[in-house]
Amino acid sequence: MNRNFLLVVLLSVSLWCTGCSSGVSTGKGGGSNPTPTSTFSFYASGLETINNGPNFYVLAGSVAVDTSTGNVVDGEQDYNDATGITAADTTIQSGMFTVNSTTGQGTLTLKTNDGSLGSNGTETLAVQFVNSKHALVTQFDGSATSSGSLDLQTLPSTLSGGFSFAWTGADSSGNPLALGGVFMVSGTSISNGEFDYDDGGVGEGVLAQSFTGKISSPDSFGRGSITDTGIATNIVYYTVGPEAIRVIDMDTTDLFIGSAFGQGSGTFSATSLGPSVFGVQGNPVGVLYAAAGSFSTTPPSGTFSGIGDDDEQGTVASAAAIAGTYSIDAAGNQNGYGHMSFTTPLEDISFLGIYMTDPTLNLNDPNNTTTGLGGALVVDLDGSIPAGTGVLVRQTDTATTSFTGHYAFGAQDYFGEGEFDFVGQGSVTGLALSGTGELSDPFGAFSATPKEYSNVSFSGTAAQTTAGRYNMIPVDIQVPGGTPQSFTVAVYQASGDQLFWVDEDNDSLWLGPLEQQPANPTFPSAKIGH
Amino acid sequence: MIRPITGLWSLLLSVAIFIPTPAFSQAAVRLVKPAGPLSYDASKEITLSGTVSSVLTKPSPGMIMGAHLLLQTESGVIDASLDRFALRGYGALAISGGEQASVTGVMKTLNGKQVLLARIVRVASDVYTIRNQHGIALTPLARERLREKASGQGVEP
Repeated sequence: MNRNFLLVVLLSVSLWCTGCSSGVSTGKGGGSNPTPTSTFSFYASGLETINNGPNFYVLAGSVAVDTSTGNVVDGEQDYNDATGITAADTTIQSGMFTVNSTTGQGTLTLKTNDGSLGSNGTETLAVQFVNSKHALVTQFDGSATSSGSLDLQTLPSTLSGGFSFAWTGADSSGNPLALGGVFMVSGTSISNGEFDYDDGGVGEGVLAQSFTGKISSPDSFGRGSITDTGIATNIVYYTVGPEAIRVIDMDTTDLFIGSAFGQGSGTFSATSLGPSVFGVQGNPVGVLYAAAGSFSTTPPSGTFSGIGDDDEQGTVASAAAIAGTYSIDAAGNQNGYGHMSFTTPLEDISFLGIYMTDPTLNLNDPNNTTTGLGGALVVDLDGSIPAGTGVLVRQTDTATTSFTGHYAFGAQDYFGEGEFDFVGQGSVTGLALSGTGELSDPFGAFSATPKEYSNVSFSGTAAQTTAGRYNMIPVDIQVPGGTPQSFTVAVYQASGDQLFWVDEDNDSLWLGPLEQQPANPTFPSAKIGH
Repeated sequence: MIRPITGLWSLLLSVAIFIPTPAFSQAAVRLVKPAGPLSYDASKEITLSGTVSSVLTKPSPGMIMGAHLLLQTESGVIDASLDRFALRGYGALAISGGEQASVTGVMKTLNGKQVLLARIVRVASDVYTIRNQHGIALTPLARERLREKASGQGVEP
């Protein structure tokens, strides 16, 4: 073996293992031979083409990867479309993780023991690493398209204390549904649960429902269950770390997906909410919409004002003024449960549930403890546009000079006939973005032939309209062999590290993140499995 | 051909649709329904009848997403939004140009144009439910689940 190649491999292994878990795979499918592994949790939601789709589906799991070869050695996952495929605790038997060490872009194939999933049991995710512990993903195998996240797990993790959550899905009647709130974990008990929900079959948001329940200890892949809540029968979670879990509803007739984040050790009040950027999006079962905006607050009076962009099924509000009142812990429970009521609505957005999270957590990148910290999970409680969920994050830096460098980006686009998703990376110089990525298009948005595209080019130049907001008109996306398609995009900057972009066209809409990559990235190197 | 919902079935489904489907059984603290662009106030429903001018599976520029039914009425051509699910899957709307139809819905002005958010489309004796009473489009799965619930009430078609 060439000495230089060996050095590259060894260096890559050491870099990849930064912060990785115990290093010995003891999962359900693994053998007894110790293998240096990193385990990642993943979750995504979108539209499947299989099973007489398009159907809304949700996916979550954990995968162990041999850090020396890129081989997937073990894992488990849960997949649900609530219309015939409810595949719980499926074994991931093998697969391959291939990543370009320069761009952090690649693919992850997961070979399961369930032939009804993916393409004959094999799912492929397009992966775009933001840093060595966090990546944006989209399903990329023609069986489905979706957007989600892949994050290095800390195993084992013990869950304890206050949590906020936001979940989106569909109820047992097939109506769109979103729910969010707060709860406490102590041992295997869930207590002091308080949540809101917005169900398309009800027609208006419903507030302040209480719940308790049980939460099991997780297995070696961080998978556990939440039961006896009255919310759903079979709720499964996968830990990212002690303050971040991905949650999936595995009932056969209803489904949801989302996250729960810890609230830390502090308490919450009106002063907990400051200048923020928010992003909210519906799901494919409900009204198609995507919105983003920014606002400032006046804590003593509990008022906010700002601007927002919102595309609801092709009706667009761009840089529209928003204003209203907010409350956090109105009942004095200090549990971070709150709401924003818009006196100047953003189209149909007039009432949001906000559930405060640990101010030391990055809600897009749970392993990031240094930048983009603090915020809340959001549920849209407007009856006319049910099932919207999202986040709000602190706005700390609106300088245009901070919007520069290398960025990973992604988005989930809804259009009338279906959905497409993409992940990519590129550079922003002088507010001009230029990048490449992978785009999943099983519903034929870019050509008459459904396809998964690599080497897709992305370009656009941001023009600031007000502090923290840009127009990026157009963002051009060109798939190989195709002509550029142009999109009308607004960008909201929480900081140079963390932005949100929203496509607001008459015939498509998206919401997604732009997350700054490290100056000297240490992505996993490309590995070829045996 | 997917059989449309007709006669007694349509009555049962109409009843089922108007029965609230709360996700969780607790005393609810409900919000006042807002009045945004896509909000649906059933008290403002109208019914328009005419000849189907065309069925658009994809919107024309300026229209909201989803399929549209252009209905030639005495007052002119009405754009009726069928949303994304009406023309596909279980219980899909079977309709073509030249047919007589009536559409019940709420008229809105969206993107500067009038559009009828269709809730019910009637073609001859067939009744199709496009949206529920809250203006939320019914997916094929939701239509199928409604049919299953109606079947569970013990009434044979």
